[in-house]
Amino acid sequence: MSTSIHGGLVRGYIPLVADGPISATTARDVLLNNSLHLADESGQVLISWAGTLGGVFDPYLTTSDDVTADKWQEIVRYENLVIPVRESGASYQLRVRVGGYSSAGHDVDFRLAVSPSSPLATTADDSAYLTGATPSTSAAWLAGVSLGTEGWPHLVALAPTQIGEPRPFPTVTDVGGAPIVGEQYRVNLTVWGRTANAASTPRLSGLYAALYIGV
Amino acid sequence: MSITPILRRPDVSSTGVLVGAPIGADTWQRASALLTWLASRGSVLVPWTSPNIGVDDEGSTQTFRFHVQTRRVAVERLWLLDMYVDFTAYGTTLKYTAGASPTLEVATGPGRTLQLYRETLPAHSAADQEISITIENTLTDDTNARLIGLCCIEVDRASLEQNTTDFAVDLNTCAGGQPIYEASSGLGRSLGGVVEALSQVDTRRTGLFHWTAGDVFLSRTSATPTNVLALPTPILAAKELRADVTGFVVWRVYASMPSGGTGKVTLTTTKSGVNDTHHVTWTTAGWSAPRVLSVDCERLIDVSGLQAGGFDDLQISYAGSGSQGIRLYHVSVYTVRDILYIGGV
Repeated sequence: MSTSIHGGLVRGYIPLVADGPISATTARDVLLNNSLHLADESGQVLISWAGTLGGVFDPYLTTSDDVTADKWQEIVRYENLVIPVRESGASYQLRVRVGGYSSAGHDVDFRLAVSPSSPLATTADDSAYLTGATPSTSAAWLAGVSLGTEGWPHLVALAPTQIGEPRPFPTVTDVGGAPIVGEQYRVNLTVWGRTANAASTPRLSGLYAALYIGV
Repeated sequence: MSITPILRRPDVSSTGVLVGAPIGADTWQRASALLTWLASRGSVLVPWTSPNIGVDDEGSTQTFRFHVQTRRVAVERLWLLDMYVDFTAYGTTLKYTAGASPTLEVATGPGRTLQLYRETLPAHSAADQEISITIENTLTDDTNARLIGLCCIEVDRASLEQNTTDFAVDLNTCAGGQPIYEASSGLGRSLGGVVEALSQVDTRRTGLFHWTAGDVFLSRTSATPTNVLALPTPILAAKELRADVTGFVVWRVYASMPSGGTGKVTLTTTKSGVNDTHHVTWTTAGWSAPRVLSVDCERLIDVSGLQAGGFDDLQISYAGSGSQGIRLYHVSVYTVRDILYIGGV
Protein backbone atom coordinates (compact mmCIF):
# COMPACT_ATOMS: atom_id res chain seq x y z
CA MET A 1 0.00 0.00 0.00
CA SER A 2 0.98 3.61 -0.32
CA THR A 3 3.22 4.16 2.67
CA SER A 4 3.48 7.92 2.79
CA ILE A 5 1.35 10.06 5.04
CA HIS A 6 -0.16 12.30 2.39
CA GLY A 7 0.01 10.20 -0.79
CA GLY A 8 2.08 12.84 -2.53
CA LEU A 9 5.00 15.16 -2.03
CA VAL A 10 4.66 18.11 0.31
CA ARG A 11 6.49 21.24 -0.73
CA GLY A 12 8.66 22.33 2.10
CA TYR A 13 11.90 23.52 3.42
CA ILE A 14 13.70 22.20 6.44
CA PRO A 15 15.39 25.08 8.23
CA LEU A 16 18.00 23.02 9.98
CA VAL A 17 20.48 25.37 11.53
CA ALA A 18 22.95 24.99 14.34
CA ASP A 19 21.22 24.75 17.69
CA GLY A 20 17.85 25.31 16.04
CA PRO A 21 14.92 23.00 16.61
CA ILE A 22 13.19 21.12 13.81
CA SER A 23 9.46 20.98 14.21
CA ALA A 24 7.75 17.63 14.43
CA THR A 25 5.35 18.72 11.70
CA THR A 26 8.19 19.50 9.30
CA ALA A 27 9.94 16.26 10.12
CA ARG A 28 6.77 14.28 9.56
CA ASP A 29 5.22 16.05 6.58
CA VAL A 30 8.32 16.96 4.63
CA LEU A 31 11.13 14.65 5.60
CA LEU A 32 9.32 11.39 6.32
CA ASN A 33 6.36 11.85 4.01
CA ASN A 34 8.49 12.87 1.05
CA SER A 35 11.05 10.12 1.60
CA LEU A 36 8.30 7.53 1.74
CA HIS A 37 6.45 8.93 -1.26
CA LEU A 38 9.62 8.98 -3.35
CA ALA A 39 10.19 5.37 -2.39
CA ASP A 40 6.62 4.48 -3.30
CA GLU A 41 6.93 6.13 -6.69
CA SER A 42 10.40 4.82 -7.49
CA GLY A 43 9.01 1.70 -9.17
CA GLN A 44 10.56 1.38 -12.62
CA VAL A 45 9.06 0.44 -15.96
CA LEU A 46 10.58 -2.96 -16.73
CA ILE A 47 9.02 -3.89 -20.06
CA SER A 48 7.30 -1.63 -22.57
CA TRP A 49 6.93 -2.48 -26.21
CA ALA A 50 4.48 -2.94 -29.01
CA GLY A 51 5.22 -4.40 -32.41
CA THR A 52 6.40 -2.11 -35.19
CA LEU A 53 4.29 -1.69 -38.30
CA GLY A 54 5.95 -1.51 -41.69
CA GLY A 55 9.56 -1.74 -42.72
CA VAL A 56 11.41 -4.99 -42.15
CA PHE A 57 9.99 -5.64 -38.71
CA ASP A 58 8.07 -8.62 -37.45
CA PRO A 59 5.37 -6.90 -35.41
CA TYR A 60 4.94 -9.78 -32.99
CA LEU A 61 6.69 -12.57 -31.11
CA THR A 62 5.38 -16.10 -31.26
CA THR A 63 6.10 -19.59 -30.03
CA SER A 64 9.37 -21.01 -31.22
CA ASP A 65 8.30 -24.66 -31.27
CA ASP A 66 5.88 -26.33 -33.60
CA VAL A 67 2.44 -25.34 -32.44
CA THR A 68 0.31 -27.93 -30.68
CA ALA A 69 -3.32 -27.31 -29.83
CA ASP A 70 -4.23 -26.75 -26.16
CA LYS A 71 -0.65 -26.69 -24.95
CA TRP A 72 1.12 -23.76 -23.32
CA GLN A 73 4.24 -22.86 -25.27
CA GLU A 74 6.77 -20.25 -24.24
CA ILE A 75 6.93 -17.06 -26.28
CA VAL A 76 9.37 -14.89 -24.37
CA ARG A 77 11.19 -14.88 -21.05
CA TYR A 78 12.67 -11.83 -19.34
CA GLU A 79 15.36 -12.76 -16.87
CA ASN A 80 17.02 -10.88 -14.03
CA LEU A 81 14.37 -8.24 -13.46
CA VAL A 82 15.40 -6.40 -10.30
CA ILE A 83 12.52 -6.06 -7.87
CA PRO A 84 12.43 -4.03 -4.64
CA VAL A 85 11.45 -5.85 -1.47
CA ARG A 86 10.22 -4.13 1.65
CA GLU A 87 11.38 -4.81 5.17
CA SER A 88 8.17 -6.74 5.77
CA GLY A 89 9.05 -9.16 2.98
CA ALA A 90 6.42 -7.82 0.60
CA SER A 91 7.74 -6.95 -2.83
CA TYR A 92 6.51 -4.25 -5.16
CA GLN A 93 3.76 -5.52 -7.43
CA LEU A 94 3.91 -5.60 -11.21
CA ARG A 95 1.37 -3.77 -13.32
CA VAL A 96 1.06 -5.82 -16.50
CA ARG A 97 -0.66 -5.69 -19.85
CA VAL A 98 -0.58 -8.28 -22.60
CA GLY A 99 -1.35 -7.62 -26.26
CA GLY A 100 -1.86 -10.33 -28.83
CA TYR A 101 -3.94 -11.93 -31.53
CA SER A 102 -4.47 -15.10 -33.52
CA SER A 103 -2.69 -15.74 -36.81
CA ALA A 104 -5.63 -17.49 -38.47
CA GLY A 105 -8.82 -16.87 -36.54
CA HIS A 106 -8.91 -19.63 -33.96
CA ASP A 107 -9.00 -18.94 -30.23
CA VAL A 108 -5.67 -18.11 -28.62
CA ASP A 109 -4.85 -16.94 -25.12
CA PHE A 110 -1.77 -15.88 -23.20
CA ARG A 111 -0.43 -16.56 -19.77
CA LEU A 112 2.20 -14.61 -17.80
CA ALA A 113 3.94 -15.38 -14.53
CA VAL A 114 6.77 -14.06 -12.36
CA SER A 115 9.04 -16.04 -10.10
CA PRO A 116 12.59 -15.88 -8.72
CA SER A 117 13.32 -18.91 -10.90
CA SER A 118 11.79 -19.68 -14.26
CA PRO A 119 8.04 -19.62 -13.69
CA LEU A 120 5.83 -22.56 -14.50
CA ALA A 121 2.97 -22.31 -16.93
CA THR A 122 0.87 -24.17 -14.37
CA THR A 123 1.25 -21.52 -11.66
CA ALA A 124 -2.21 -20.48 -10.52
CA ASP A 125 -1.85 -17.82 -7.84
CA ASP A 126 -1.55 -14.03 -7.96
CA SER A 127 1.96 -14.28 -9.41
CA ALA A 128 0.35 -15.54 -12.62
CA TYR A 129 -2.00 -13.87 -15.08
CA LEU A 130 -4.29 -15.26 -17.77
CA THR A 131 -5.85 -13.35 -20.63
CA GLY A 132 -9.20 -14.11 -22.12
CA ALA A 133 -9.23 -16.11 -25.34
CA THR A 134 -9.52 -14.27 -28.61
CA PRO A 135 -9.96 -15.42 -32.23
CA SER A 136 -9.24 -11.91 -33.50
CA THR A 137 -6.57 -11.53 -36.15
CA SER A 138 -6.01 -7.90 -35.21
CA ALA A 139 -3.59 -6.79 -32.49
CA ALA A 140 -5.30 -5.68 -29.27
CA TRP A 141 -4.62 -5.41 -25.57
CA LEU A 142 -6.36 -8.33 -23.92
CA ALA A 143 -8.37 -8.31 -20.71
CA GLY A 144 -7.06 -10.70 -18.11
CA VAL A 145 -6.90 -11.48 -14.44
CA SER A 146 -4.41 -12.71 -11.89
CA LEU A 147 -5.10 -16.29 -10.94
CA GLY A 148 -5.10 -16.10 -7.13
CA THR A 149 -7.59 -14.91 -4.60
CA GLU A 150 -6.99 -11.27 -5.48
CA GLY A 151 -8.08 -11.65 -9.09
CA TRP A 152 -6.40 -8.41 -10.11
CA PRO A 153 -7.28 -7.06 -13.57
CA HIS A 154 -3.84 -5.55 -14.23
CA LEU A 155 -1.47 -6.81 -11.52
CA VAL A 156 0.64 -9.75 -10.52
CA ALA A 157 2.58 -10.02 -7.27
CA LEU A 158 4.75 -12.43 -5.39
CA ALA A 159 3.75 -13.36 -1.86
CA PRO A 160 6.50 -12.82 0.74
CA THR A 161 7.04 -16.58 0.82
CA GLN A 162 7.68 -16.57 -2.94
CA ILE A 163 10.39 -13.91 -3.05
CA GLY A 164 13.25 -16.33 -2.68
CA GLU A 165 16.77 -15.53 -1.60
CA PRO A 166 18.69 -12.43 -2.65
CA ARG A 167 21.21 -13.01 -5.39
CA PRO A 168 24.68 -11.58 -5.72
CA PHE A 169 25.61 -9.10 -8.42
CA PRO A 170 29.10 -7.93 -9.31
CA THR A 171 29.84 -4.26 -9.62
CA VAL A 172 32.44 -1.71 -8.55
CA THR A 173 32.61 0.52 -5.51
CA ASP A 174 32.64 3.69 -7.57
CA VAL A 175 33.65 4.96 -11.01
CA GLY A 176 37.01 3.34 -11.57
CA GLY A 177 36.70 1.66 -8.19
CA ALA A 178 37.45 -1.80 -6.91
CA PRO A 179 35.25 -4.82 -7.62
CA ILE A 180 32.55 -5.48 -5.07
CA VAL A 181 29.59 -7.82 -4.82
CA GLY A 182 26.15 -6.65 -3.73
CA GLU A 183 22.86 -8.41 -3.28
CA GLN A 184 19.49 -7.83 -4.89
CA TYR A 185 16.21 -9.62 -5.46
CA ARG A 186 15.57 -10.67 -9.02
CA VAL A 187 12.70 -12.35 -10.80
CA ASN A 188 12.00 -13.80 -14.21
CA LEU A 189 8.86 -13.04 -16.16
CA THR A 190 7.65 -15.48 -18.79
CA VAL A 191 4.83 -15.27 -21.32
CA TRP A 192 3.28 -18.35 -22.90
CA GLY A 193 0.74 -18.70 -25.68
CA ARG A 194 -1.86 -21.35 -26.33
CA THR A 195 -4.04 -22.08 -29.32
CA ALA A 196 -7.28 -24.02 -29.61
CA ASN A 197 -6.34 -25.13 -33.11
CA ALA A 198 -2.88 -25.80 -34.46
CA ALA A 199 -3.78 -23.92 -37.64
CA SER A 200 -3.48 -20.68 -35.63
CA THR A 201 -0.49 -19.48 -33.69
CA PRO A 202 -0.69 -17.03 -30.78
CA ARG A 203 1.07 -13.77 -31.62
CA LEU A 204 2.29 -11.54 -28.83
CA SER A 205 2.13 -7.97 -30.15
CA GLY A 206 2.74 -5.93 -27.02
CA LEU A 207 3.82 -6.27 -23.42
CA TYR A 208 4.03 -3.87 -20.49
CA ALA A 209 5.25 -4.46 -16.95
CA ALA A 210 6.00 -1.79 -14.36
CA LEU A 211 6.69 -1.89 -10.64
CA TYR A 212 3.94 -0.55 -8.40
CA ILE A 213 3.82 -0.15 -4.63
CA GLY A 214 0.14 -1.15 -4.67
CA VAL A 215 -2.89 0.03 -2.76
CA MET B 1 33.64 6.27 4.65
CA SER B 2 31.73 3.81 2.47
CA ILE B 3 28.15 3.04 3.39
CA THR B 4 26.56 -0.31 2.52
CA PRO B 5 22.85 0.13 1.77
CA ILE B 6 20.59 -2.37 3.40
CA LEU B 7 19.01 -4.95 1.13
CA ARG B 8 15.35 -4.39 1.83
CA ARG B 9 13.52 -1.07 1.72
CA PRO B 10 13.28 0.16 5.32
CA ASP B 11 9.85 0.96 6.69
CA VAL B 12 9.67 4.26 8.55
CA SER B 13 6.77 5.02 10.83
CA SER B 14 5.59 8.53 11.53
CA THR B 15 3.38 7.53 14.43
CA GLY B 16 6.02 8.48 16.96
CA VAL B 17 6.54 11.95 15.50
CA LEU B 18 4.33 14.11 17.67
CA VAL B 19 4.15 17.82 18.23
CA GLY B 20 5.74 18.67 21.55
CA ALA B 21 7.72 15.45 21.75
CA PRO B 22 11.25 14.80 20.58
CA ILE B 23 11.76 12.82 17.37
CA GLY B 24 13.32 9.50 18.27
CA ALA B 25 16.76 8.56 17.06
CA ASP B 26 15.27 5.41 15.56
CA THR B 27 13.12 7.51 13.25
CA TRP B 28 16.16 9.45 12.04
CA GLN B 29 18.16 6.28 11.56
CA ARG B 30 15.41 4.65 9.54
CA ALA B 31 14.99 7.77 7.44
CA SER B 32 18.71 7.81 6.72
CA ALA B 33 18.66 4.12 5.80
CA LEU B 34 15.68 4.65 3.48
CA LEU B 35 17.35 7.53 1.65
CA THR B 36 20.59 5.60 1.23
CA TRP B 37 18.60 2.59 -0.03
CA LEU B 38 16.84 4.84 -2.54
CA ALA B 39 20.12 6.31 -3.76
CA SER B 40 21.58 2.84 -4.24
CA ARG B 41 18.91 1.60 -6.59
CA GLY B 42 19.72 1.66 -10.26
CA SER B 43 17.02 2.92 -12.56
CA VAL B 44 15.83 1.33 -15.77
CA LEU B 45 17.10 3.51 -18.58
CA VAL B 46 15.59 1.42 -21.37
CA PRO B 47 12.73 -0.86 -20.39
CA TRP B 48 12.73 -4.11 -22.34
CA THR B 49 11.81 -3.23 -25.89
CA SER B 50 11.52 -5.54 -28.83
CA PRO B 51 13.03 -4.27 -32.09
CA ASN B 52 12.84 -7.79 -33.52
CA ILE B 53 15.11 -7.01 -36.45
CA GLY B 54 18.05 -8.74 -38.06
CA VAL B 55 21.78 -8.11 -37.88
CA ASP B 56 22.19 -10.41 -40.81
CA ASP B 57 25.16 -10.03 -43.08
CA GLU B 58 28.86 -10.49 -42.61
CA GLY B 59 30.30 -7.53 -40.83
CA SER B 60 26.95 -5.81 -40.62
CA THR B 61 26.26 -3.59 -37.65
CA GLN B 62 23.22 -2.08 -36.08
CA THR B 63 23.35 0.75 -33.56
CA PHE B 64 20.46 1.19 -31.18
CA ARG B 65 20.23 4.68 -29.70
CA PHE B 66 18.25 5.98 -26.77
CA HIS B 67 18.02 9.38 -25.12
CA VAL B 68 17.75 9.59 -21.33
CA GLN B 69 18.85 11.68 -18.39
CA THR B 70 21.06 9.32 -16.46
CA ARG B 71 21.37 9.30 -12.68
CA ARG B 72 24.43 10.88 -11.14
CA VAL B 73 25.13 8.04 -8.70
CA ALA B 74 25.37 5.33 -11.38
CA VAL B 75 28.76 3.68 -11.98
CA GLU B 76 27.84 0.94 -14.47
CA ARG B 77 25.13 0.04 -16.94
CA LEU B 78 24.02 -3.43 -17.82
CA TRP B 79 22.71 -4.16 -21.29
CA LEU B 80 20.65 -7.32 -21.65
CA LEU B 81 20.10 -8.57 -25.16
CA ASP B 82 17.77 -11.33 -26.28
CA MET B 83 19.53 -12.63 -29.42
CA TYR B 84 18.46 -15.28 -31.89
CA VAL B 85 20.83 -17.00 -34.29
CA ASP B 86 19.38 -19.10 -37.09
CA PHE B 87 19.15 -22.82 -36.39
CA THR B 88 20.41 -23.58 -39.90
CA ALA B 89 23.78 -22.05 -39.15
CA TYR B 90 26.56 -23.10 -36.87
CA GLY B 91 26.38 -19.90 -34.93
CA THR B 92 28.40 -16.77 -35.11
CA THR B 93 30.42 -14.32 -33.11
CA LEU B 94 28.58 -11.22 -32.06
CA LYS B 95 30.36 -8.06 -30.97
CA TYR B 96 28.83 -5.53 -28.61
CA THR B 97 30.11 -2.02 -28.03
CA ALA B 98 28.58 0.64 -25.79
CA GLY B 99 30.08 3.96 -24.79
CA ALA B 100 33.77 3.85 -24.03
CA SER B 101 33.70 0.28 -22.76
CA PRO B 102 35.76 -2.39 -24.51
CA THR B 103 34.03 -4.41 -27.20
CA LEU B 104 32.65 -7.71 -25.99
CA GLU B 105 32.87 -10.67 -28.36
CA VAL B 106 30.54 -13.58 -27.76
CA ALA B 107 30.57 -16.84 -29.69
CA THR B 108 26.91 -17.69 -30.06
CA GLY B 109 25.53 -21.03 -31.13
CA PRO B 110 22.27 -21.51 -32.98
CA GLY B 111 19.16 -20.64 -31.05
CA ARG B 112 18.11 -17.97 -28.63
CA THR B 113 20.36 -16.69 -25.87
CA LEU B 114 20.38 -13.88 -23.33
CA GLN B 115 23.56 -11.82 -23.65
CA LEU B 116 24.83 -9.50 -20.92
CA TYR B 117 27.11 -6.59 -21.64
CA ARG B 118 28.47 -4.46 -18.83
CA GLU B 119 29.20 -0.84 -19.72
CA THR B 120 31.62 0.76 -17.32
CA LEU B 121 31.12 4.49 -16.97
CA PRO B 122 34.13 6.80 -17.16
CA ALA B 123 32.56 9.39 -14.86
CA HIS B 124 29.44 10.19 -12.90
CA SER B 125 26.93 11.99 -15.07
CA ALA B 126 23.42 13.32 -14.75
CA ALA B 127 23.40 14.59 -18.33
CA ASP B 128 20.44 14.35 -20.66
CA GLN B 129 22.33 12.28 -23.20
CA GLU B 130 22.33 9.56 -25.83
CA ILE B 131 23.23 6.05 -24.76
CA SER B 132 23.70 3.42 -27.43
CA ILE B 133 24.85 -0.09 -28.17
CA THR B 134 26.26 -1.37 -31.44
CA ILE B 135 25.90 -5.01 -32.42
CA GLU B 136 28.10 -6.55 -35.12
CA ASN B 137 27.60 -9.94 -36.72
CA THR B 138 31.00 -11.29 -37.76
CA LEU B 139 30.33 -14.62 -39.42
CA THR B 140 31.66 -15.07 -42.94
CA ASP B 141 28.47 -16.49 -44.38
CA ASP B 142 25.11 -14.86 -44.08
CA THR B 143 24.10 -16.19 -40.70
CA ASN B 144 20.85 -14.70 -39.56
CA ALA B 145 21.30 -13.04 -36.22
CA ARG B 146 18.29 -11.29 -34.84
CA LEU B 147 17.81 -8.91 -31.95
CA ILE B 148 14.57 -10.00 -30.34
CA GLY B 149 14.75 -7.52 -27.47
CA LEU B 150 17.02 -5.46 -25.28
CA CYS B 151 17.01 -3.38 -22.14
CA CYS B 152 19.49 -1.22 -20.28
CA ILE B 153 19.61 -0.72 -16.53
CA GLU B 154 21.85 1.13 -14.16
CA VAL B 155 23.49 -1.40 -11.88
CA ASP B 156 22.55 -1.01 -8.22
CA ARG B 157 25.24 0.47 -6.02
CA ALA B 158 26.67 -2.03 -3.53
CA SER B 159 28.30 0.77 -1.56
CA LEU B 160 27.98 4.52 -1.52
CA GLU B 161 30.10 7.36 -0.27
CA GLN B 162 29.41 10.27 2.04
CA ASN B 163 30.19 12.77 -0.68
CA THR B 164 28.49 15.26 -2.99
CA THR B 165 27.78 12.58 -5.57
CA ASP B 166 26.22 9.84 -3.48
CA PHE B 167 24.99 11.70 -0.38
CA ALA B 168 24.95 8.45 1.61
CA VAL B 169 24.23 8.85 5.31
CA ASP B 170 25.94 6.92 8.07
CA LEU B 171 22.98 5.90 10.19
CA ASN B 172 25.23 5.50 13.24
CA THR B 173 25.59 9.27 13.31
CA CYS B 174 21.83 9.53 13.88
CA ALA B 175 21.89 7.26 16.93
CA GLY B 176 20.93 8.41 20.40
CA GLY B 177 23.69 10.27 22.18
CA GLN B 178 25.38 11.40 18.97
CA PRO B 179 25.89 15.10 18.30
CA ILE B 180 23.45 16.82 15.96
CA TYR B 181 25.07 18.30 12.87
CA GLU B 182 23.68 20.54 10.24
CA ALA B 183 24.66 19.72 6.66
CA SER B 184 27.52 22.17 6.49
CA SER B 185 29.22 20.39 9.36
CA GLY B 186 29.92 17.32 7.29
CA LEU B 187 28.38 15.29 4.52
CA GLY B 188 26.47 12.14 5.27
CA ARG B 189 26.30 12.72 8.97
CA SER B 190 23.50 13.28 11.41
CA LEU B 191 20.29 15.16 10.79
CA GLY B 192 21.90 17.51 8.33
CA GLY B 193 23.02 14.57 6.25
CA VAL B 194 19.49 13.17 6.16
CA VAL B 195 18.00 16.47 5.10
CA GLU B 196 20.63 16.95 2.40
CA ALA B 197 20.18 13.39 1.14
CA LEU B 198 16.47 14.02 0.67
CA SER B 199 17.13 17.15 -1.34
CA GLN B 200 19.57 15.33 -3.63
CA VAL B 201 18.18 11.84 -4.12
CA ASP B 202 17.09 10.99 -7.66
CA THR B 203 14.36 8.36 -7.66
CA ARG B 204 13.01 8.79 -11.16
CA ARG B 205 11.50 6.02 -13.22
CA THR B 206 13.90 7.13 -15.90
CA GLY B 207 13.00 5.35 -19.11
CA LEU B 208 9.29 5.10 -19.84
CA PHE B 209 9.18 3.98 -23.46
CA HIS B 210 11.69 3.69 -26.26
CA TRP B 211 11.14 2.63 -29.83
CA THR B 212 14.16 1.81 -31.97
CA ALA B 213 14.76 0.63 -35.50
CA GLY B 214 18.53 0.47 -35.23
CA ASP B 215 20.04 1.70 -38.48
CA VAL B 216 17.20 0.30 -40.57
CA PHE B 217 14.75 3.23 -40.05
CA LEU B 218 11.18 3.62 -41.21
CA SER B 219 10.72 5.82 -44.26
CA ARG B 220 7.72 7.62 -45.65
CA THR B 221 7.21 10.26 -48.32
CA SER B 222 3.47 10.77 -48.00
CA ALA B 223 2.37 13.75 -45.94
CA THR B 224 -0.42 11.63 -44.47
CA PRO B 225 0.76 10.24 -41.12
CA THR B 226 0.88 6.52 -40.48
CA ASN B 227 1.28 4.74 -37.16
CA VAL B 228 4.53 3.20 -35.93
CA LEU B 229 3.09 0.85 -33.32
CA ALA B 230 0.77 -2.09 -33.72
CA LEU B 231 -0.75 -1.11 -30.37
CA PRO B 232 -0.83 2.19 -28.48
CA THR B 233 1.43 1.52 -25.50
CA PRO B 234 0.87 2.39 -21.81
CA ILE B 235 2.51 5.54 -20.50
CA LEU B 236 2.30 6.44 -16.81
CA ALA B 237 4.32 9.04 -14.96
CA ALA B 238 5.10 9.02 -11.26
CA LYS B 239 2.79 11.03 -9.04
CA GLU B 240 4.31 14.09 -7.42
CA LEU B 241 1.77 16.17 -5.55
CA ARG B 242 -1.27 14.57 -3.98
CA ALA B 243 -3.81 16.22 -6.29
CA ASP B 244 -1.87 15.56 -9.48
CA VAL B 245 -3.56 13.49 -12.17
CA THR B 246 -0.81 14.01 -14.71
CA GLY B 247 2.97 14.19 -14.72
CA PHE B 248 5.58 15.62 -17.03
CA VAL B 249 7.71 13.55 -19.38
CA VAL B 250 9.91 14.53 -22.29
CA TRP B 251 10.29 12.98 -25.70
CA ARG B 252 12.76 13.18 -28.54
CA VAL B 253 13.01 11.67 -32.00
CA TYR B 254 16.08 10.61 -33.96
CA ALA B 255 15.23 11.22 -37.59
CA SER B 256 16.22 12.99 -40.78
CA MET B 257 14.89 14.44 -44.01
CA PRO B 258 17.86 13.51 -46.22
CA SER B 259 16.52 15.27 -49.30
CA GLY B 260 15.22 18.34 -47.51
CA GLY B 261 11.69 19.44 -46.78
CA THR B 262 9.80 19.12 -43.54
CA GLY B 263 8.58 15.84 -42.13
CA LYS B 264 6.86 15.26 -38.84
CA VAL B 265 6.67 12.78 -36.02
CA THR B 266 3.64 13.04 -33.76
CA LEU B 267 2.96 11.52 -30.36
CA THR B 268 -0.65 11.19 -29.27
CA THR B 269 -2.15 9.77 -26.11
CA THR B 270 -5.55 8.22 -25.63
CA LYS B 271 -6.56 9.69 -22.27
CA SER B 272 -4.41 12.68 -21.42
CA GLY B 273 -5.09 14.33 -24.76
CA VAL B 274 -1.52 14.78 -25.96
CA ASN B 275 -1.08 15.63 -29.63
CA ASP B 276 2.47 16.87 -29.98
CA THR B 277 4.64 17.06 -33.09
CA HIS B 278 8.33 17.24 -33.83
CA HIS B 279 8.90 18.93 -37.20
CA VAL B 280 11.95 17.35 -38.79
CA THR B 281 13.96 19.58 -41.11
CA TRP B 282 17.53 18.36 -40.62
CA THR B 283 19.12 16.32 -43.43
CA THR B 284 21.60 14.34 -41.33
CA ALA B 285 20.19 11.83 -38.87
CA GLY B 286 20.18 13.17 -35.34
CA TRP B 287 18.17 13.83 -32.22
CA SER B 288 15.54 16.52 -31.97
CA ALA B 289 15.38 18.94 -29.07
CA PRO B 290 13.24 17.67 -26.18
CA ARG B 291 9.57 18.45 -25.97
CA VAL B 292 7.59 18.22 -22.75
CA LEU B 293 4.34 16.30 -22.45
CA SER B 294 1.78 15.91 -19.68
CA VAL B 295 0.49 12.35 -19.38
CA ASP B 296 -1.44 10.39 -16.76
CA CYS B 297 0.35 9.81 -13.49
CA GLU B 298 -0.14 7.02 -10.98
CA ARG B 299 -3.19 7.07 -8.75
CA LEU B 300 -2.29 5.48 -5.47
CA ILE B 301 -5.82 4.80 -4.34
CA ASP B 302 -6.58 2.66 -7.38
CA VAL B 303 -5.86 -1.05 -7.12
CA SER B 304 -3.91 -0.92 -10.40
CA GLY B 305 -2.56 2.58 -9.88
CA LEU B 306 -4.39 3.97 -12.88
CA GLN B 307 -6.39 7.14 -13.29
CA ALA B 308 -10.11 6.71 -13.91
CA GLY B 309 -10.78 5.10 -17.26
CA GLY B 310 -7.76 2.83 -17.28
CA PHE B 311 -4.47 3.04 -19.14
CA ASP B 312 -3.21 6.16 -20.87
CA ASP B 313 -1.67 4.89 -24.11
CA LEU B 314 0.72 6.54 -26.53
CA GLN B 315 0.94 6.14 -30.28
CA ILE B 316 3.59 7.50 -32.63
CA SER B 317 2.93 8.47 -36.22
CA TYR B 318 5.21 9.89 -38.89
CA ALA B 319 4.91 11.53 -42.28
CA GLY B 320 7.12 12.94 -45.00
CA SER B 321 6.60 16.26 -46.73
CA GLY B 322 4.58 14.79 -49.59
CA SER B 323 7.49 15.04 -52.00
CA GLN B 324 10.44 14.28 -49.71
CA GLY B 325 10.81 11.29 -47.43
CA ILE B 326 11.42 11.14 -43.70
CA ARG B 327 13.64 8.58 -42.04
CA LEU B 328 12.64 7.65 -38.49
CA TYR B 329 15.21 5.72 -36.46
CA HIS B 330 14.45 6.09 -32.74
CA VAL B 331 11.95 7.64 -30.32
CA SER B 332 12.60 8.11 -26.60
CA VAL B 333 10.09 9.01 -23.89
CA TYR B 334 11.67 9.54 -20.48
CA THR B 335 11.79 11.71 -17.38
CA VAL B 336 14.16 14.43 -16.28
CA ARG B 337 14.86 15.49 -12.74
CA ASP B 338 12.15 17.73 -11.46
CA ILE B 339 12.75 21.07 -9.89
CA LEU B 340 9.99 20.53 -7.36
CA TYR B 341 11.36 21.49 -3.98
CA ILE B 342 10.98 18.45 -1.79
CA GLY B 343 12.93 19.55 1.24
CA GLY B 344 16.53 20.25 1.91
CA VAL B 345 19.06 22.67 3.18
